[in-house]
Amino acid sequence: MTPLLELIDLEKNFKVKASSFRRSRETLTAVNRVNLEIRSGECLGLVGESGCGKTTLARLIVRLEKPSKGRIIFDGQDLSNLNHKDEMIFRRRVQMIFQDPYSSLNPRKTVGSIIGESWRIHSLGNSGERREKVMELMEEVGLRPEFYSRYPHEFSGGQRQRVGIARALSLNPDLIVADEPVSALDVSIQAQVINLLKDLQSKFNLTYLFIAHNLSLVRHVADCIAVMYLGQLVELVPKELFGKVHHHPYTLALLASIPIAKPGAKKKAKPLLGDVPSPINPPSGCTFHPRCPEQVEVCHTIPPELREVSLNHCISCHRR
Amino acid sequence: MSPQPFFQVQDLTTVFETREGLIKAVDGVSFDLAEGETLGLVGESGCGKSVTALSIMRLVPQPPGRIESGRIIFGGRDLLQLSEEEMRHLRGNDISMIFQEPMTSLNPVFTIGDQVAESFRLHQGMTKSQALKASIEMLHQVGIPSPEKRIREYPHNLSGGMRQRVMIAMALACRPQMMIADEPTTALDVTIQAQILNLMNQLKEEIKTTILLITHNLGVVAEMADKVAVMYTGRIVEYAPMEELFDHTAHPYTLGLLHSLPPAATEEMKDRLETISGIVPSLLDLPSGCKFHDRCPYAFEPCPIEEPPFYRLNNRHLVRCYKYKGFA
Ligand SMILES: Nc1ncnc2c1ncn2[C@@H]1O[C@H](COP(=O)(O)OP(=O)(O)OP(=O)(O)O)[C@@H](O)[C@H]1O
Ligand SMILES: [Mg+2]
Repeated sequence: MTPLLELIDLEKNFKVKASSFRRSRETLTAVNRVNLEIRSGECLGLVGESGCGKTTLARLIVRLEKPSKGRIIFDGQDLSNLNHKDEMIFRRRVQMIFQDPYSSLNPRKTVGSIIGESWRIHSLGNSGERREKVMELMEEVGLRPEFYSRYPHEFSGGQRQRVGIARALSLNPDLIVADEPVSALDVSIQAQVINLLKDLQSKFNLTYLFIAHNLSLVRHVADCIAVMYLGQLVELVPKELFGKVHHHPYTLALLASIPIAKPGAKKKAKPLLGDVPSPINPPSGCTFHPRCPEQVEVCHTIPPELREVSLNHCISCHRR
Repeated sequence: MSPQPFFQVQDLTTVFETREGLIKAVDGVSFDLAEGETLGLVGESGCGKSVTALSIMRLVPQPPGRIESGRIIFGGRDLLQLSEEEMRHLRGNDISMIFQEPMTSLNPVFTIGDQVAESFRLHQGMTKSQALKASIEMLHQVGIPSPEKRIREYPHNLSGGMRQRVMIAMALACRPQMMIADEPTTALDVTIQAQILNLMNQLKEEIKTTILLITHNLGVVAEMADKVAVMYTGRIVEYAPMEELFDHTAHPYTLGLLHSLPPAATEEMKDRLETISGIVPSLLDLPSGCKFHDRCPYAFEPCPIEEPPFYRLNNRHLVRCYKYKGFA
């Protein structure tokens, strides 16, 4: 089966000011030669720490950013040469849910008009029909229809995230890119929104790219887990194999760092040393080597390639 | 008579005068800490964790805030009765605080070195050069690489993890008997969080600091705390030794929180997460009786009528829920 979304050698560079003193600009590689596939109806979970390029990758896919190199293929079509009509179709089929339910909704619009906005833009239906559809969607995501004329500030974080989800669903998309959709929410609300996303996925046969920094959460929602470090994918592993195979040292470090809500669950592994290096001047060789407990000489000089170490399990590491 | 605990909060109530009305952000909170112990104060956003900490330090913005009642006993004195002068001396010397957002508590116009050295000079009466040397040593201890270079940098040049370590260095510069850490790792990445928690655990062993650790993360509690207080709408609803709280969870709210967590990546997978229905009520519009009753799967007749008292499941496990009415 051909994948719904395919990223081929995707790269994004930004020109940044190196320091406040120097005038010169340097290149920051936010996304570095990423290759990835998502099959229709699947959920791919992308994890990594802040600044590793997760959000840039999401913005490239929904075309809020232009790739510097590489290609994005959606449903067999290369996105770099879309005509206007195809562009409009693409914009309907791919939707995004944002991290911050507070700033991603227009405070001066009612919830009803936020959710129905895309139909208005695409001139679908008359106002009565649109109103009815909005009410249906609100029901679908667990918002009471009486809330139709209320404003975002009258809602809790979890409710606002539901508004964002309803808005993303309004045009019957195929792919939803959700960038940290629950990290701003309290645990009890997080669980409600996660369950909702899962229910909607099976009901509408949605494909998800689910981005989060919480590995436990990603494993819970995803069919396949991608781990990112300094703009590169370091591991790609199907959920069934997770925890049963020899993981990348960075994945192991992430696993060991998560505090577990069980007394005595504490792992003996030492935490990683140091901070994530700057993506402006990444370390030579394998960019993880300065923090890697397993590094050997070759890691300092030669960047490892992402390769299939066993069926469906890819790793970029000289030691695996 | 049992000996006076090292640190004790009794019946603390703190209110805010807001435009919409009076809210009780902290309502009758009591807990105590033995020397060297770590208490984890957990709960969801807005439940009153930070206001509890600010009340202890007497840093509640006034107005709109006001400590309405209570006693905070430390070193044989009630902190709420101290003069502003005495309180200033206590902050930093005996009790240090690490804030939720490190950037707001570091001064952007002074170098890291100046700020850490200032703590040493103020609280340990060191000379300038002594203080500078001690600062480099302390920054080294909290895991800042090449501290002799870092002391010349400004807060905005440091990463979040580095800043939080500087905050910890400053808090420790005065060898406080007690430390209040309000979400010290929430803004950090997991690998950095693990480093900071390790560091705090190490320091706890070395200098026996007593810690009030505020967090919404039950994992952090399981790793750090000796005992736990769970807060909901300004009240403590369950209070128990850490292992007891996880192994014999009593309050339906605590259970709900634990069940809503996705299973750890090393644990058995679940098909669905369990949830707590509804949302945390507004402090301006609290339900009658038990404040959790309208979200509680176990609620029965008495729950909406009157707020439950604390029932004592055993010597050290208290829970505010009518399910345990049989207990004294
Ligand atoms: N300066 C203030 N003025 C008015 N209300 C306030 C003020 N500070 C806090 N509150 C209110 O007091 C209540 C408790 O807030 P607090 O900051 O203690 O919550 P918290 O448990 O620390 O939450 P979080 O996990 O989000 O940090 C909230 O309803 C909050 O809105
Ligand atoms: Mg707080």
